[in-house]
Amino acid sequence: MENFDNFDRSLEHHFNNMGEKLIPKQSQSLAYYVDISKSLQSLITFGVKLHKIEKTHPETLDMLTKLRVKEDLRPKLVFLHNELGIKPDQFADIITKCPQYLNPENEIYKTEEIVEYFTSKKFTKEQITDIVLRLPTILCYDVIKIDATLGFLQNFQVSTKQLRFQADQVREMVMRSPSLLTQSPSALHVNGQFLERSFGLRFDEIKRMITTYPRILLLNTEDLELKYMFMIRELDFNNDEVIKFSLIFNASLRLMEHRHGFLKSLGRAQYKTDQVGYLSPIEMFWCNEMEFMTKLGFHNRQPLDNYIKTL
Amino acid sequence: MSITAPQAYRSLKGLFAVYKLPNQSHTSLIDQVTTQILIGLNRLEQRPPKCMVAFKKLSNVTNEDFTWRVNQIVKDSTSSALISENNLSIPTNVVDWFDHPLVQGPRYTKEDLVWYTGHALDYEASGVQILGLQNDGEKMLGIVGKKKLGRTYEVKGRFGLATTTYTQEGKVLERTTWNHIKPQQINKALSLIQGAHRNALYRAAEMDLSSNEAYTAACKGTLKPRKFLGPLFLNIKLIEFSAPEFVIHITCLDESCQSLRALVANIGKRLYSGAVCTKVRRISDGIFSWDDEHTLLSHKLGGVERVIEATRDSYSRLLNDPRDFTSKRNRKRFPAADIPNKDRREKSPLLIAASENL
Repeated sequence: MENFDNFDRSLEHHFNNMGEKLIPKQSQSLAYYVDISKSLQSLITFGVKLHKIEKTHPETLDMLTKLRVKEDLRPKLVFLHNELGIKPDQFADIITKCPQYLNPENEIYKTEEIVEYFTSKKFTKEQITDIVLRLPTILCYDVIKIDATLGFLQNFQVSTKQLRFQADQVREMVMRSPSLLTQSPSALHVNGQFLERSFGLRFDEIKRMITTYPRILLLNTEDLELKYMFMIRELDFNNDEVIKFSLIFNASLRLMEHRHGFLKSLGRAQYKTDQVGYLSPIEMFWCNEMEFMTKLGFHNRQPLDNYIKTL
Repeated sequence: MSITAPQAYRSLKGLFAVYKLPNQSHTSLIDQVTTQILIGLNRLEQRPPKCMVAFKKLSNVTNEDFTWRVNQIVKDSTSSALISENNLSIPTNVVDWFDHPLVQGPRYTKEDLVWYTGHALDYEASGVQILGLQNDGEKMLGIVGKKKLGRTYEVKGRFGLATTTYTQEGKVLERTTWNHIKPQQINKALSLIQGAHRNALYRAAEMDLSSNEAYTAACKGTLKPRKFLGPLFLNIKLIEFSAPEFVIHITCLDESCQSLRALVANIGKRLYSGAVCTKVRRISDGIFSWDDEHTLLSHKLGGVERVIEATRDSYSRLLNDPRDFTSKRNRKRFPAADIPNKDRREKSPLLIAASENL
């Protein structure tokens, strides 16, 4: 070493690039690449949960690191804002549930097709935004499959007969539970058969059931069976009342058992409309615990907890 | 001022009791409790995201980066000349996206909570279940478990059946009548069993029963055997008898839920008919009972602060119990509670005088 200048020159590159970040060649998380890519930083400012995408959609991680802001990200978010009327606060939920939407291979004309299809079936613009907010995966879904399920819903095939629904009814069913659209027709057929065989309903009763509570076509058949037996044995329901109060199938069995047992211990468990002291089951089983207790006249949850501790 | 998450996490330790519902396995109970606590912890105020050190040149440094240290470096005449001449760089704090909560996820996960349990309940049984959190819970459970405090159960049975598994879901061995049974006959059978078990306990206590020590120990409840003799039913009482169904309260040592069901079948045999157990429910486990406001429902804990209050309540109860949990040896194992330091050795007057005169 002859000169300090030579020594300094060799270290100049090191000092100028002291803030260099080392990137691994392979990783299962996006955390190493966030410092570098501006697109991921902009996603974080919107509020997208990257740790959830790593668990649920690991096949999209390659695509997300290679995103470009101007060419890939911007036009798709602008499409959501202009065409569908979605606010920037709501982008986060949509992208966490459907990151495939940002894939440059999924071009915009495919989502335009879906929107055109819904408008051709006479869904209003507000209804379409509602569907997209509640079911973001429909942005990457195939139009042909949606057509098949909607067609099956309108002519709902039960063992020997086709139940014909009108267009207004089908639209209302889709608005009340949009996740019907991503189900295959065979899955819906299974639940329809279950309603016919183990509940023992007639065809017009099945029609009424599906219009009052369309989500019954999505629930698990084992849970449905247990809830049905509970309603018939403990709550003393006929088939007519099961259809009338079919919203109760949304609640879990444990919740129904606890609340029904509590009402029984108070002596106020009366679900027949003719009798004195009638309590409608929908008001009892389709609300919070605090609302439930205020309806009965209590201020605390203590009486219900004290009853559950005796089980 | 509400609690911050690190404060809450540090104070989540010790014992507390949970009411378990029937037809639930032990692993699902612990999953239920952990998810509720983690939801509560991750909602509280978290630590701020960590910063990263980046080296910037003087021209790129902004007003926000001018901390006290950077100011010192820049204002010194010698160092400022060096920096400007040779284009050297200054260390500054920079936002680190790596540690953002949306990238890393929730700060507290399942691995941060370690559970230890007391005597475990069956799948079909319900009642009070003690749970211990972190290292302190393990130590306290070891201390409380050695003092064999009795557990009381409420057992419901039904005359008229005898099965293989002592429940209604087993294979039926015989069906019998029960019209001849009266409550005095049941009480007689129960007192016979109770007396036999108590005699076995007194014989195995390895103490001279005519001495004063044995009397004081029996009054306190510490006259317990060291060997394992099997399930001991020390106190059996009939509470309700309505037609074929009956309810009894049992206090026992070294028992299991299946042994209680076998007891019910034994009672039926003694009364010349068959009996079957419909329900096993634990009313109290040592200090914890189902009546307390601090025994929490497993599916509805009520927040992290309620769990912390329950652990603190169990501390105070163990310290104030007259059954001597806080021997000198155990006082060191308990975490710092409101105990005055009485163990200091008194100095002799010679040492005091010597230290004063120096």
